[in-house]
Amino acid sequence: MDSQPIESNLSASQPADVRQRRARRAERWQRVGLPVLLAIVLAAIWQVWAMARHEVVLPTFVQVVQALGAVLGEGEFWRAMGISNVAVVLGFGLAAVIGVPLGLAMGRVRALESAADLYLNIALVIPMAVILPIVLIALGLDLRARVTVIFLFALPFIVVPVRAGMRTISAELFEMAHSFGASELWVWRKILIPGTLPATITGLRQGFGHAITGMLIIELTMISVGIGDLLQRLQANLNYPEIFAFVAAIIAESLIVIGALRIAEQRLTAGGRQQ
Amino acid sequence: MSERTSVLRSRQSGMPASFRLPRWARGRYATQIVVTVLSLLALEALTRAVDISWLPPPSRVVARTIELFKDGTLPAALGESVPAFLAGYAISVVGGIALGFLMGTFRLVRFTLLPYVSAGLVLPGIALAPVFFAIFGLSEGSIVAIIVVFAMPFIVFNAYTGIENSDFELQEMAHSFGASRLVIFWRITLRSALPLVAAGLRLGMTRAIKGMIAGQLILSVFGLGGLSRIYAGTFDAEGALSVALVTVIIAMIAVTFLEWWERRVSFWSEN
Repeated sequence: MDSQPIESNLSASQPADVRQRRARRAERWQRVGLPVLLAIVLAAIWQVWAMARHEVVLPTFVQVVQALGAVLGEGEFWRAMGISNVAVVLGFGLAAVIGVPLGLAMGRVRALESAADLYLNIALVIPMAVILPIVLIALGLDLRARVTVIFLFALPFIVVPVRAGMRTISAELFEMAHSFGASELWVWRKILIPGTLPATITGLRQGFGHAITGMLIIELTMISVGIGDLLQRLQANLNYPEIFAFVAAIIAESLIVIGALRIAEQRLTAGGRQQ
Repeated sequence: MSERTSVLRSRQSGMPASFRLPRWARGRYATQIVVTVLSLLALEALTRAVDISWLPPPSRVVARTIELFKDGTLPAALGESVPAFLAGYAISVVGGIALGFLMGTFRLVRFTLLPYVSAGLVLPGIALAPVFFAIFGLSEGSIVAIIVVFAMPFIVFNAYTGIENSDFELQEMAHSFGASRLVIFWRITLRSALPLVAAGLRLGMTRAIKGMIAGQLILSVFGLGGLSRIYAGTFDAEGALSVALVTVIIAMIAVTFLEWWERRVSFWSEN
Protein backbone atom coordinates (compact mmCIF):
# COMPACT_ATOMS: atom_id res chain seq x y z
CA MET A 1 0.00 0.00 0.00
CA ASP A 2 1.04 3.58 -0.49
CA SER A 3 2.05 5.51 2.54
CA GLN A 4 -0.76 7.81 3.47
CA PRO A 5 0.41 11.17 4.76
CA ILE A 6 -1.09 12.15 8.08
CA GLU A 7 -3.87 14.64 7.68
CA SER A 8 -3.36 17.91 9.44
CA ASN A 9 -5.74 20.81 9.25
CA LEU A 10 -3.52 23.15 11.22
CA SER A 11 -1.02 23.80 8.47
CA ALA A 12 -3.37 23.75 5.53
CA SER A 13 -1.92 26.94 4.15
CA GLN A 14 1.59 25.58 3.85
CA PRO A 15 2.67 24.82 0.30
CA ALA A 16 4.03 21.35 1.01
CA ASP A 17 0.76 20.37 2.57
CA VAL A 18 -1.26 21.80 -0.28
CA ARG A 19 0.89 19.89 -2.72
CA GLN A 20 0.37 16.70 -0.83
CA ARG A 21 -3.33 17.26 -0.75
CA ARG A 22 -3.46 17.94 -4.44
CA ALA A 23 -1.50 14.79 -5.09
CA ARG A 24 -3.91 12.85 -2.95
CA ARG A 25 -6.92 14.29 -4.73
CA ALA A 26 -5.33 13.51 -8.09
CA GLU A 27 -4.70 9.96 -6.93
CA ARG A 28 -8.28 9.55 -5.84
CA TRP A 29 -9.41 10.65 -9.29
CA GLN A 30 -6.97 8.28 -10.93
CA ARG A 31 -8.19 5.41 -8.80
CA VAL A 32 -11.76 5.96 -9.94
CA GLY A 33 -11.20 7.45 -13.36
CA LEU A 34 -8.73 4.98 -14.82
CA PRO A 35 -10.85 1.84 -14.31
CA VAL A 36 -13.87 3.67 -15.73
CA LEU A 37 -11.77 4.79 -18.68
CA LEU A 38 -10.67 1.20 -19.29
CA ALA A 39 -14.30 0.07 -19.22
CA ILE A 40 -15.27 2.73 -21.73
CA VAL A 41 -12.38 1.84 -24.04
CA LEU A 42 -13.22 -1.87 -23.88
CA ALA A 43 -16.90 -1.18 -24.53
CA ALA A 44 -15.95 0.95 -27.54
CA ILE A 45 -13.66 -1.76 -28.91
CA TRP A 46 -16.40 -4.34 -28.41
CA GLN A 47 -18.94 -2.11 -30.18
CA VAL A 48 -16.70 -1.53 -33.19
CA TRP A 49 -15.60 -5.16 -33.36
CA ALA A 50 -19.15 -6.51 -33.15
CA MET A 51 -20.35 -4.05 -35.79
CA ALA A 52 -17.50 -5.04 -38.09
CA ARG A 53 -17.99 -8.78 -37.59
CA HIS A 54 -21.75 -8.54 -37.75
CA GLU A 55 -22.49 -12.03 -36.46
CA VAL A 56 -25.59 -13.22 -34.70
CA VAL A 57 -23.59 -14.67 -31.79
CA LEU A 58 -21.81 -11.40 -31.11
CA PRO A 59 -24.25 -8.60 -30.28
CA THR A 60 -22.92 -5.07 -30.04
CA PHE A 61 -22.49 -3.32 -26.73
CA VAL A 62 -25.42 -1.01 -27.44
CA GLN A 63 -27.68 -3.97 -28.29
CA VAL A 64 -26.78 -5.64 -25.02
CA VAL A 65 -27.48 -2.49 -23.01
CA GLN A 66 -30.85 -2.17 -24.74
CA ALA A 67 -31.58 -5.84 -24.09
CA LEU A 68 -30.65 -5.36 -20.44
CA GLY A 69 -33.10 -2.48 -20.17
CA ALA A 70 -35.83 -4.56 -21.78
CA VAL A 71 -35.04 -7.65 -19.70
CA LEU A 72 -35.15 -5.75 -16.41
CA GLY A 73 -38.69 -4.70 -17.22
CA GLU A 74 -39.88 -8.25 -17.89
CA GLY A 75 -41.67 -10.41 -15.38
CA GLU A 76 -39.96 -13.50 -16.78
CA PHE A 77 -36.54 -12.25 -15.81
CA TRP A 78 -37.55 -11.54 -12.22
CA ARG A 79 -39.36 -14.87 -11.95
CA ALA A 80 -36.23 -16.70 -13.12
CA MET A 81 -34.06 -14.68 -10.75
CA GLY A 82 -36.51 -15.45 -7.96
CA ILE A 83 -36.49 -19.20 -8.59
CA SER A 84 -32.70 -19.32 -8.72
CA ASN A 85 -32.21 -17.08 -5.73
CA VAL A 86 -34.50 -19.05 -3.45
CA ALA A 87 -31.97 -21.87 -3.71
CA VAL A 88 -29.07 -19.46 -3.26
CA VAL A 89 -30.60 -17.90 -0.15
CA LEU A 90 -31.30 -21.32 1.38
CA GLY A 91 -28.00 -22.93 0.41
CA PHE A 92 -25.83 -19.95 1.22
CA GLY A 93 -27.78 -19.24 4.41
CA LEU A 94 -27.31 -22.83 5.54
CA ALA A 95 -23.60 -22.66 4.71
CA ALA A 96 -23.28 -19.45 6.74
CA VAL A 97 -25.26 -20.80 9.70
CA ILE A 98 -23.16 -23.98 9.81
CA GLY A 99 -19.87 -22.67 8.46
CA VAL A 100 -19.32 -19.69 10.75
CA PRO A 101 -19.80 -21.63 14.02
CA LEU A 102 -17.75 -24.48 12.61
CA GLY A 103 -14.88 -22.14 11.78
CA LEU A 104 -15.09 -20.57 15.23
CA ALA A 105 -15.18 -23.96 16.91
CA MET A 106 -12.22 -25.17 14.88
CA GLY A 107 -10.24 -22.20 16.10
CA ARG A 108 -11.10 -22.95 19.72
CA VAL A 109 -11.17 -26.76 19.94
CA ARG A 110 -7.88 -28.36 19.00
CA ALA A 111 -9.35 -31.83 18.45
CA LEU A 112 -11.92 -30.54 15.96
CA GLU A 113 -9.23 -28.60 14.15
CA SER A 114 -6.96 -31.61 13.68
CA ALA A 115 -9.89 -33.83 12.68
CA ALA A 116 -11.37 -31.48 10.10
CA ASP A 117 -8.30 -29.68 8.81
CA LEU A 118 -7.29 -32.24 6.20
CA TYR A 119 -10.77 -32.56 4.73
CA LEU A 120 -11.28 -28.83 4.70
CA ASN A 121 -8.04 -28.35 2.78
CA ILE A 122 -9.06 -31.03 0.32
CA ALA A 123 -12.50 -29.43 -0.05
CA LEU A 124 -10.84 -26.12 -0.89
CA VAL A 125 -8.65 -27.64 -3.56
CA ILE A 126 -10.91 -30.08 -5.37
CA PRO A 127 -13.54 -29.02 -7.88
CA MET A 128 -16.81 -29.45 -5.96
CA ALA A 129 -18.58 -29.87 -9.30
CA VAL A 130 -17.37 -33.48 -9.57
CA ILE A 131 -19.72 -34.64 -6.83
CA LEU A 132 -22.70 -32.93 -8.44
CA PRO A 133 -23.93 -36.22 -9.99
CA ILE A 134 -23.87 -37.89 -6.57
CA VAL A 135 -26.05 -35.16 -5.07
CA LEU A 136 -28.49 -35.55 -7.94
CA ILE A 137 -28.63 -39.34 -7.66
CA ALA A 138 -29.14 -39.04 -3.91
CA LEU A 139 -31.70 -36.26 -3.82
CA GLY A 140 -33.31 -36.15 -7.24
CA LEU A 141 -33.87 -33.14 -9.43
CA ASP A 142 -35.52 -30.84 -6.94
CA LEU A 143 -34.91 -27.83 -4.74
CA ARG A 144 -33.17 -29.93 -2.07
CA ALA A 145 -30.49 -30.98 -4.55
CA ARG A 146 -29.93 -27.38 -5.68
CA VAL A 147 -29.70 -26.16 -2.10
CA THR A 148 -27.27 -28.96 -1.24
CA VAL A 149 -25.02 -28.17 -4.18
CA ILE A 150 -24.93 -24.47 -3.34
CA PHE A 151 -24.27 -25.32 0.31
CA LEU A 152 -21.36 -27.59 -0.60
CA PHE A 153 -19.89 -24.99 -2.93
CA ALA A 154 -20.01 -22.22 -0.34
CA LEU A 155 -19.18 -24.04 2.91
CA PRO A 156 -15.37 -24.49 2.73
CA PHE A 157 -14.87 -20.89 1.66
CA ILE A 158 -16.80 -19.67 4.70
CA VAL A 159 -15.18 -22.00 7.24
CA VAL A 160 -11.56 -21.39 6.25
CA PRO A 161 -11.43 -17.57 6.61
CA VAL A 162 -13.33 -17.74 9.92
CA ARG A 163 -10.85 -20.26 11.27
CA ALA A 164 -7.98 -18.13 9.98
CA GLY A 165 -9.56 -15.16 11.75
CA MET A 166 -9.49 -17.09 15.02
CA ARG A 167 -5.76 -17.58 14.59
CA THR A 168 -5.16 -13.84 14.37
CA ILE A 169 -6.55 -13.24 17.85
CA SER A 170 -3.59 -12.95 20.13
CA ALA A 171 -3.02 -15.56 22.79
CA GLU A 172 -2.15 -12.80 25.24
CA LEU A 173 -5.71 -11.53 25.10
CA PHE A 174 -6.96 -14.97 26.11
CA GLU A 175 -4.44 -15.26 28.88
CA MET A 176 -5.36 -11.90 30.28
CA ALA A 177 -9.05 -12.69 30.13
CA HIS A 178 -8.45 -15.97 31.89
CA SER A 179 -6.27 -14.52 34.60
CA PHE A 180 -9.00 -12.00 35.32
CA GLY A 181 -11.37 -14.92 35.69
CA ALA A 182 -13.42 -14.34 32.56
CA SER A 183 -15.94 -17.02 31.73
CA GLU A 184 -15.94 -18.85 28.39
CA LEU A 185 -19.12 -17.02 27.42
CA TRP A 186 -17.54 -13.67 28.16
CA VAL A 187 -14.45 -14.58 26.11
CA TRP A 188 -16.68 -15.44 23.17
CA ARG A 189 -18.80 -12.33 23.45
CA LYS A 190 -16.05 -9.82 24.04
CA ILE A 191 -13.01 -11.23 22.30
CA LEU A 192 -13.72 -14.00 19.83
CA ILE A 193 -16.83 -12.85 18.03
CA PRO A 194 -15.83 -9.17 17.64
CA GLY A 195 -12.29 -10.22 16.76
CA THR A 196 -13.34 -12.57 14.00
CA LEU A 197 -16.10 -10.40 12.54
CA PRO A 198 -14.01 -9.04 9.64
CA ALA A 199 -12.78 -12.54 8.81
CA THR A 200 -16.34 -13.83 8.98
CA ILE A 201 -17.49 -11.27 6.47
CA THR A 202 -14.55 -12.08 4.22
CA GLY A 203 -15.68 -15.70 4.36
CA LEU A 204 -19.27 -14.78 3.54
CA ARG A 205 -18.06 -12.70 0.61
CA GLN A 206 -16.01 -15.54 -0.84
CA GLY A 207 -18.73 -18.04 -0.07
CA PHE A 208 -21.34 -16.02 -1.91
CA GLY A 209 -19.35 -16.01 -5.12
CA HIS A 210 -19.02 -19.78 -4.88
CA ALA A 211 -22.71 -20.15 -4.05
CA ILE A 212 -23.62 -18.35 -7.28
CA THR A 213 -21.10 -20.52 -9.13
CA GLY A 214 -22.75 -23.65 -7.78
CA MET A 215 -26.21 -22.34 -8.66
CA LEU A 216 -25.19 -21.59 -12.23
CA ILE A 217 -23.38 -24.89 -12.77
CA ILE A 218 -26.30 -26.98 -11.61
CA GLU A 219 -28.91 -24.92 -13.46
CA LEU A 220 -26.91 -24.92 -16.67
CA THR A 221 -26.32 -28.68 -16.54
CA MET A 222 -28.70 -30.98 -14.79
CA ILE A 223 -31.59 -29.13 -13.20
CA SER A 224 -32.82 -26.64 -15.76
CA VAL A 225 -34.78 -24.10 -13.77
CA GLY A 226 -34.60 -20.39 -13.13
CA ILE A 227 -31.78 -18.48 -14.75
CA GLY A 228 -30.16 -21.60 -16.18
CA ASP A 229 -33.36 -22.63 -17.87
CA LEU A 230 -33.96 -19.17 -19.29
CA LEU A 231 -30.38 -18.96 -20.57
CA GLN A 232 -30.72 -22.31 -22.32
CA ARG A 233 -34.00 -21.27 -23.94
CA LEU A 234 -32.46 -18.00 -25.10
CA GLN A 235 -29.56 -19.98 -26.54
CA ALA A 236 -31.99 -22.18 -28.45
CA ASN A 237 -33.67 -19.04 -29.84
CA LEU A 238 -30.30 -17.50 -30.68
CA ASN A 239 -31.27 -14.47 -28.64
CA TYR A 240 -27.72 -13.45 -27.92
CA PRO A 241 -28.29 -9.84 -26.80
CA GLU A 242 -30.50 -11.13 -23.98
CA ILE A 243 -28.00 -13.87 -23.08
CA PHE A 244 -25.30 -11.24 -22.68
CA ALA A 245 -27.73 -9.06 -20.73
CA PHE A 246 -28.51 -11.96 -18.38
CA VAL A 247 -24.84 -12.59 -17.78
CA ALA A 248 -24.43 -8.92 -16.91
CA ALA A 249 -27.41 -9.09 -14.53
CA ILE A 250 -26.04 -12.17 -12.72
CA ILE A 251 -22.64 -10.58 -12.32
CA ALA A 252 -24.30 -7.36 -11.14
CA GLU A 253 -26.20 -9.29 -8.47
CA SER A 254 -22.98 -10.84 -7.14
CA LEU A 255 -21.27 -7.49 -7.32
CA ILE A 256 -24.01 -5.84 -5.25
CA VAL A 257 -24.06 -8.51 -2.54
CA ILE A 258 -20.29 -8.85 -2.35
CA GLY A 259 -19.86 -5.07 -2.45
CA ALA A 260 -22.35 -4.62 0.39
CA LEU A 261 -20.46 -7.19 2.46
CA ARG A 262 -17.22 -5.41 1.68
CA ILE A 263 -18.61 -2.09 2.87
CA ALA A 264 -19.91 -3.77 6.03
CA GLU A 265 -16.45 -5.24 6.57
CA GLN A 266 -14.76 -1.86 6.20
CA ARG A 267 -17.24 -0.23 8.59
CA LEU A 268 -16.76 -2.94 11.18
CA THR A 269 -12.98 -2.89 10.94
CA ALA A 270 -12.97 0.88 11.29
CA GLY A 271 -15.33 0.62 14.28
CA GLY A 272 -13.06 -1.98 15.87
CA ARG A 273 -10.09 0.33 15.62
CA GLN A 274 -11.86 3.16 17.33
CA GLN A 275 -12.75 1.11 20.37
CA MET B 1 13.68 -33.09 18.33
CA SER B 2 16.83 -33.76 20.30
CA GLU B 3 17.29 -36.85 22.43
CA ARG B 4 17.20 -34.81 25.60
CA THR B 5 13.83 -33.18 25.01
CA SER B 6 12.27 -36.40 23.86
CA VAL B 7 13.37 -38.07 27.09
CA LEU B 8 11.89 -35.19 29.02
CA ARG B 9 8.63 -35.47 27.13
CA SER B 10 8.29 -39.15 27.75
CA ARG B 11 8.98 -38.62 31.44
CA GLN B 12 6.35 -35.96 31.62
CA SER B 13 3.76 -38.14 30.00
CA GLY B 14 4.64 -40.86 32.48
CA MET B 15 5.13 -43.45 29.76
CA PRO B 16 8.24 -45.60 29.52
CA ALA B 17 10.26 -44.58 26.49
CA SER B 18 10.04 -48.03 24.95
CA PHE B 19 6.26 -47.82 24.73
CA ARG B 20 6.18 -44.66 22.71
CA LEU B 21 4.79 -44.79 19.22
CA PRO B 22 7.40 -44.61 16.48
CA ARG B 23 8.07 -41.11 15.24
CA TRP B 24 6.04 -41.47 12.03
CA ALA B 25 2.95 -42.47 13.98
CA ARG B 26 2.96 -39.38 16.15
CA GLY B 27 1.65 -35.99 15.12
CA ARG B 28 -1.30 -34.89 13.08
CA TYR B 29 -0.51 -36.63 9.80
CA ALA B 30 -0.64 -40.00 11.48
CA THR B 31 -3.92 -39.12 13.19
CA GLN B 32 -5.36 -37.99 9.89
CA ILE B 33 -4.27 -41.13 8.09
CA VAL B 34 -5.70 -43.33 10.84
CA VAL B 35 -8.98 -41.40 10.86
CA THR B 36 -9.23 -41.56 7.07
CA VAL B 37 -8.50 -45.28 6.87
CA LEU B 38 -10.94 -46.06 9.68
CA SER B 39 -13.73 -44.01 8.14
CA LEU B 40 -13.14 -45.61 4.74
CA LEU B 41 -13.36 -49.05 6.35
CA ALA B 42 -16.53 -48.04 8.21
CA LEU B 43 -17.98 -46.71 4.96
CA GLU B 44 -17.10 -49.93 3.19
CA ALA B 45 -18.79 -52.01 5.89
CA LEU B 46 -21.85 -49.76 5.98
CA THR B 47 -22.34 -49.63 2.21
CA ARG B 48 -21.93 -53.39 1.93
CA ALA B 49 -24.49 -53.98 4.66
CA VAL B 50 -27.02 -51.39 3.42
CA ASP B 51 -27.53 -50.75 -0.27
CA ILE B 52 -27.42 -46.99 -0.89
CA SER B 53 -28.02 -46.02 -4.51
CA TRP B 54 -25.79 -42.96 -4.45
CA LEU B 55 -23.03 -44.35 -2.24
CA PRO B 56 -21.39 -47.50 -3.57
CA PRO B 57 -18.68 -49.16 -1.47
CA PRO B 58 -15.27 -47.46 -1.91
CA SER B 59 -13.70 -50.73 -3.08
CA ARG B 60 -16.19 -50.97 -5.96
CA VAL B 61 -15.41 -47.37 -6.97
CA VAL B 62 -11.70 -48.17 -7.07
CA ALA B 63 -12.38 -51.33 -9.09
CA ARG B 64 -14.56 -49.37 -11.50
CA THR B 65 -11.88 -46.70 -11.87
CA ILE B 66 -9.32 -49.33 -12.81
CA GLU B 67 -11.79 -50.86 -15.23
CA LEU B 68 -12.46 -47.45 -16.84
CA PHE B 69 -8.73 -47.00 -17.25
CA LYS B 70 -8.38 -50.39 -18.89
CA ASP B 71 -11.23 -49.94 -21.36
CA GLY B 72 -9.89 -46.54 -22.42
CA THR B 73 -12.78 -44.39 -21.19
CA LEU B 74 -10.82 -42.42 -18.64
CA PRO B 75 -7.66 -42.10 -20.76
CA ALA B 76 -9.81 -40.69 -23.58
CA ALA B 77 -11.49 -38.19 -21.23
CA LEU B 78 -8.10 -37.18 -19.84
CA GLY B 79 -6.71 -36.85 -23.34
CA GLU B 80 -9.54 -34.48 -24.21
CA SER B 81 -9.01 -32.47 -21.04
CA VAL B 82 -5.25 -32.05 -20.91
CA PRO B 83 -4.54 -29.85 -23.98
CA ALA B 84 -7.24 -27.28 -23.14
CA PHE B 85 -6.18 -27.32 -19.52
CA LEU B 86 -2.53 -26.73 -20.32
CA ALA B 87 -3.38 -23.97 -22.77
CA GLY B 88 -5.67 -22.23 -20.29
CA TYR B 89 -3.25 -22.57 -17.41
CA ALA B 90 -0.28 -21.43 -19.52
CA ILE B 91 -2.16 -18.32 -20.67
CA SER B 92 -3.15 -17.59 -17.07
CA VAL B 93 0.41 -18.02 -15.80
CA VAL B 94 2.19 -16.00 -18.48
CA GLY B 95 -0.46 -13.30 -18.77
CA GLY B 96 -1.09 -13.25 -15.02
CA ILE B 97 2.54 -12.82 -14.02
CA ALA B 98 3.10 -10.19 -16.71
CA LEU B 99 0.04 -8.17 -15.66
CA GLY B 100 0.85 -8.59 -11.97
CA PHE B 101 4.40 -7.33 -12.49
CA LEU B 102 3.15 -4.37 -14.53
CA MET B 103 0.67 -3.56 -11.77
CA GLY B 104 3.37 -3.83 -9.13
CA THR B 105 5.76 -1.63 -11.10
CA PHE B 106 3.56 1.07 -12.63
CA ARG B 107 1.14 2.98 -10.44
CA LEU B 108 -1.27 3.88 -13.22
CA VAL B 109 -1.52 0.28 -14.41
CA ARG B 110 -2.30 -0.70 -10.85
CA PHE B 111 -5.05 1.90 -10.51
CA THR B 112 -6.55 0.82 -13.82
CA LEU B 113 -6.60 -2.91 -13.24
CA LEU B 114 -6.89 -3.43 -9.48
CA PRO B 115 -10.70 -3.11 -9.24
CA TYR B 116 -11.13 -5.66 -12.00
CA VAL B 117 -8.62 -8.08 -10.56
CA SER B 118 -10.14 -7.89 -7.07
CA ALA B 119 -13.58 -8.41 -8.58
CA GLY B 120 -12.25 -11.40 -10.48
CA LEU B 121 -11.14 -12.97 -7.20
CA VAL B 122 -14.65 -13.22 -5.79
CA LEU B 123 -17.14 -12.92 -8.64
CA PRO B 124 -18.53 -16.12 -10.18
CA GLY B 125 -16.53 -16.35 -13.40
CA ILE B 126 -18.72 -19.20 -14.58
CA ALA B 127 -21.45 -16.63 -15.28
CA LEU B 128 -19.44 -15.73 -18.37
CA ALA B 129 -19.78 -19.27 -19.74
CA PRO B 130 -22.77 -18.44 -22.01
CA VAL B 131 -20.79 -15.55 -23.49
CA PHE B 132 -17.83 -17.79 -24.22
CA PHE B 133 -20.08 -20.42 -25.77
CA ALA B 134 -21.51 -17.72 -28.01
CA ILE B 135 -18.06 -16.57 -29.11
CA PHE B 136 -16.12 -19.84 -29.24
CA GLY B 137 -18.93 -22.31 -29.75
CA LEU B 138 -18.96 -25.80 -28.24
CA SER B 139 -15.21 -26.13 -28.53
CA GLU B 140 -12.04 -26.29 -26.52
CA GLY B 141 -11.78 -22.51 -26.89
CA SER B 142 -14.68 -22.04 -24.49
CA ILE B 143 -12.99 -24.27 -21.91
CA VAL B 144 -9.72 -22.40 -22.28
CA ALA B 145 -11.52 -19.08 -21.78
CA ILE B 146 -13.32 -20.33 -18.66
CA ILE B 147 -10.04 -21.65 -17.23
CA VAL B 148 -8.40 -18.27 -17.80
CA VAL B 149 -11.28 -16.41 -16.13
CA PHE B 150 -11.09 -18.77 -13.16
CA ALA B 151 -7.33 -18.85 -12.70
CA MET B 152 -5.85 -15.60 -13.95
CA PRO B 153 -7.11 -13.12 -11.30
CA PHE B 154 -5.42 -15.14 -8.55
CA ILE B 155 -2.11 -15.28 -10.40
CA VAL B 156 -2.25 -11.57 -11.26
CA PHE B 157 -3.13 -10.58 -7.72
CA ASN B 158 -0.37 -12.63 -6.10
CA ALA B 159 2.28 -11.49 -8.58
CA TYR B 160 1.25 -7.88 -7.98
CA THR B 161 1.27 -8.29 -4.20
CA GLY B 162 4.67 -9.99 -4.41
CA ILE B 163 6.21 -7.07 -6.28
CA GLU B 164 4.48 -4.55 -4.04
CA ASN B 165 5.77 -6.23 -0.87
CA SER B 166 9.31 -6.76 -2.08
CA ASP B 167 12.06 -5.44 0.12
CA PHE B 168 12.19 -1.71 -0.52
CA GLU B 169 15.23 -1.04 1.67
CA LEU B 170 17.23 -3.68 -0.14
CA GLN B 171 16.31 -2.09 -3.46
CA GLU B 172 17.35 1.32 -2.20
CA MET B 173 20.64 -0.02 -0.95
CA ALA B 174 21.35 -1.73 -4.26
CA HIS B 175 20.51 1.51 -6.00
CA SER B 176 22.95 3.51 -3.89
CA PHE B 177 25.61 0.92 -4.66
CA GLY B 178 25.04 1.69 -8.31
CA ALA B 179 22.98 -1.30 -9.41
CA SER B 180 20.97 -0.70 -12.55
CA ARG B 181 17.19 -0.91 -12.49
CA LEU B 182 17.31 -4.15 -14.45
CA VAL B 183 19.72 -5.73 -11.99
CA ILE B 184 17.61 -4.55 -9.06
CA PHE B 185 14.49 -5.98 -10.64
CA TRP B 186 16.12 -9.27 -11.55
CA ARG B 187 18.08 -9.91 -8.38
CA ILE B 188 15.94 -8.35 -5.67
CA THR B 189 12.37 -7.56 -6.69
CA LEU B 190 11.84 -10.77 -8.62
CA ARG B 191 13.42 -12.99 -5.99
CA SER B 192 11.47 -11.50 -3.14
CA ALA B 193 8.23 -11.70 -5.11
CA LEU B 194 8.79 -15.36 -5.94
CA PRO B 195 7.12 -16.97 -2.88
CA LEU B 196 3.91 -15.06 -3.48
CA VAL B 197 4.08 -15.75 -7.21
CA ALA B 198 4.44 -19.44 -6.41
CA ALA B 199 1.45 -19.28 -4.08
CA GLY B 200 -0.47 -17.64 -6.91
CA LEU B 201 0.46 -20.45 -9.28
CA ARG B 202 -0.79 -22.99 -6.73
CA LEU B 203 -4.07 -21.16 -6.20
CA GLY B 204 -4.36 -20.67 -9.95
CA MET B 205 -3.89 -24.41 -10.46
CA THR B 206 -6.80 -25.30 -8.20
CA ARG B 207 -8.92 -22.63 -9.83
CA ALA B 208 -7.97 -23.81 -13.31
CA ILE B 209 -9.03 -27.38 -12.49
CA LYS B 210 -12.33 -26.10 -11.09
CA GLY B 211 -12.90 -24.00 -14.18
CA MET B 212 -12.11 -26.90 -16.48
CA ILE B 213 -14.52 -29.28 -14.74
CA ALA B 214 -17.27 -26.65 -14.56
CA GLY B 215 -16.87 -25.75 -18.22
CA GLN B 216 -16.84 -29.36 -19.36
CA LEU B 217 -19.90 -30.16 -17.24
CA ILE B 218 -21.84 -27.34 -18.86
CA LEU B 219 -20.57 -28.11 -22.35
CA SER B 220 -21.14 -31.85 -21.75
CA VAL B 221 -19.36 -32.84 -24.95
CA PHE B 222 -15.96 -34.02 -23.82
CA GLY B 223 -13.45 -34.45 -21.05
CA LEU B 224 -13.81 -35.47 -17.43
CA GLY B 225 -16.76 -33.14 -16.91
CA GLY B 226 -18.53 -34.54 -19.95
CA LEU B 227 -18.00 -38.07 -18.65
CA SER B 228 -19.32 -37.05 -15.25
CA ARG B 229 -22.41 -35.63 -16.88
CA ILE B 230 -23.03 -38.89 -18.76
CA TYR B 231 -22.89 -40.84 -15.49
CA ALA B 232 -25.22 -38.34 -13.84
CA GLY B 233 -27.68 -38.85 -16.68
CA THR B 234 -27.62 -42.63 -16.26
CA PHE B 235 -27.68 -42.43 -12.42
CA ASP B 236 -24.37 -44.30 -12.36
CA ALA B 237 -22.94 -43.30 -8.98
CA GLU B 238 -19.95 -45.62 -9.34
CA GLY B 239 -18.93 -44.06 -12.62
CA ALA B 240 -19.45 -40.52 -11.33
CA LEU B 241 -17.36 -41.28 -8.24
CA SER B 242 -14.63 -42.80 -10.42
CA VAL B 243 -14.40 -39.53 -12.35
CA ALA B 244 -14.42 -37.64 -9.04
CA LEU B 245 -11.66 -39.88 -7.67
CA VAL B 246 -9.41 -39.35 -10.69
CA THR B 247 -10.04 -35.58 -10.67
CA VAL B 248 -9.32 -35.30 -6.96
CA ILE B 249 -6.12 -37.34 -7.26
CA ILE B 250 -4.88 -35.21 -10.15
CA ALA B 251 -5.77 -31.99 -8.31
CA MET B 252 -4.04 -33.16 -5.15
CA ILE B 253 -0.89 -34.22 -7.00
CA ALA B 254 -0.67 -30.93 -8.87
CA VAL B 255 -1.25 -28.87 -5.74
CA THR B 256 1.17 -30.91 -3.64
CA PHE B 257 3.86 -30.49 -6.28
CA LEU B 258 3.30 -26.74 -6.45
CA GLU B 259 3.31 -26.56 -2.64
CA TRP B 260 6.66 -28.30 -2.59
CA TRP B 261 8.01 -25.86 -5.14
CA GLU B 262 6.57 -22.94 -3.19
CA ARG B 263 8.41 -24.08 -0.07
CA ARG B 264 11.61 -24.42 -2.06
CA VAL B 265 11.52 -20.89 -3.43
CA SER B 266 10.53 -19.39 -0.10
CA PHE B 267 13.12 -21.16 2.03
CA TRP B 268 14.51 -17.82 3.20
CA SER B 269 11.16 -16.35 4.04
CA GLU B 270 10.27 -16.17 7.72
CA ASN B 271 6.71 -17.35 7.25
